Amino acid sequence: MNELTDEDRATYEWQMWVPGIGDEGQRRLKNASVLVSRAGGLGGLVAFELAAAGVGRLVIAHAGTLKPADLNRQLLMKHSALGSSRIECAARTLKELNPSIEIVAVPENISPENVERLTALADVVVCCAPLFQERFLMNEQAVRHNKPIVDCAMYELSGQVTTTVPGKSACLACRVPTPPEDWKRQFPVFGAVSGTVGGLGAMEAIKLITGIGEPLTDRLLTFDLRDMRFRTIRTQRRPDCPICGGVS
Amino acid sequence: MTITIEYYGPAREAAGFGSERVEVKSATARLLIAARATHHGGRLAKLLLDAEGRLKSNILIAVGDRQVEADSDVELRDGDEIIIVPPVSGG
Repeated sequence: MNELTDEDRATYEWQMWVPGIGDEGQRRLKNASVLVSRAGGLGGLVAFELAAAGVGRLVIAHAGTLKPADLNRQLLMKHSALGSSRIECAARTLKELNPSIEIVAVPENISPENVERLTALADVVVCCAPLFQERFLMNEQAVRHNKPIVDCAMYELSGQVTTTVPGKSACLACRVPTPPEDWKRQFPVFGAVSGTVGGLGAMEAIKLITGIGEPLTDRLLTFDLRDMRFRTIRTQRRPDCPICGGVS
Repeated sequence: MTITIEYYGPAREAAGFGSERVEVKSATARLLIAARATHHGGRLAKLLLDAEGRLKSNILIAVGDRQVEADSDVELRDGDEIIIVPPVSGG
């Protein structure tokens, strides 16, 4: 267990004043490892907030090179990095914000080949991937290895956040037994929406790590920023779920 | 009785509005959503309904703050609010 330094206490002072955090909560964050896939509009904000909060290790999986169309929401990226590796740019930005944390920058998207290895590195998984195939892979591995998984998603001016604790709450396959057939990888959204969802997802991870508050376990938050409607729905496990049905 | 239906994400986009109030004598949640999707037709029907006109299994629906479980339905009461949440992802 890594202990807090005087520099840590100076850096995280404001959040350590939050009831329930203090030295112990901050120590938990410092010793935690979170897998984030990917580092785009959602995952980039999750990673940014977790880096700022002092999560000791961030494992971030993201392939590809930066395009102009990424810049309206992928706030870890820089205009000067257009055409170069997105994960390298994301890692640089995170290190500039917090040089004391470890960044495991994986220049790959989640795939059947790497999902088990990457999930094993994490205490908490945050899923922000655009493809349902990736999301189902992460969900399956998180459940199999009993890792809590925060599921972040968005569309247009709306967002969804929920948290699965394997064996206790509904997993992605309970809620979405089949992927939507018409889902397109590119869709309308503002960066302010992905930032909102990313901030909520990061807070879920912080709550899971520190034990404060009540994560969205068994609940799904859905909201629409067009008219500021926020709803929390109590979700149900499927007893016949092929992923978590037999897990207790 | 009066039932309010709230549409989120792609359902709002497909419907063209965020919510509607409907007057019905009696209904269950799934049957009312299927009826409204058929009534509005077009993209909303395509998003919510399968080839047999039934609500797709990957559309999360709730009455109030309670999810309506798969393969079940809920008898509606006056003033109920139905929430329709299609799956979305990141990017």
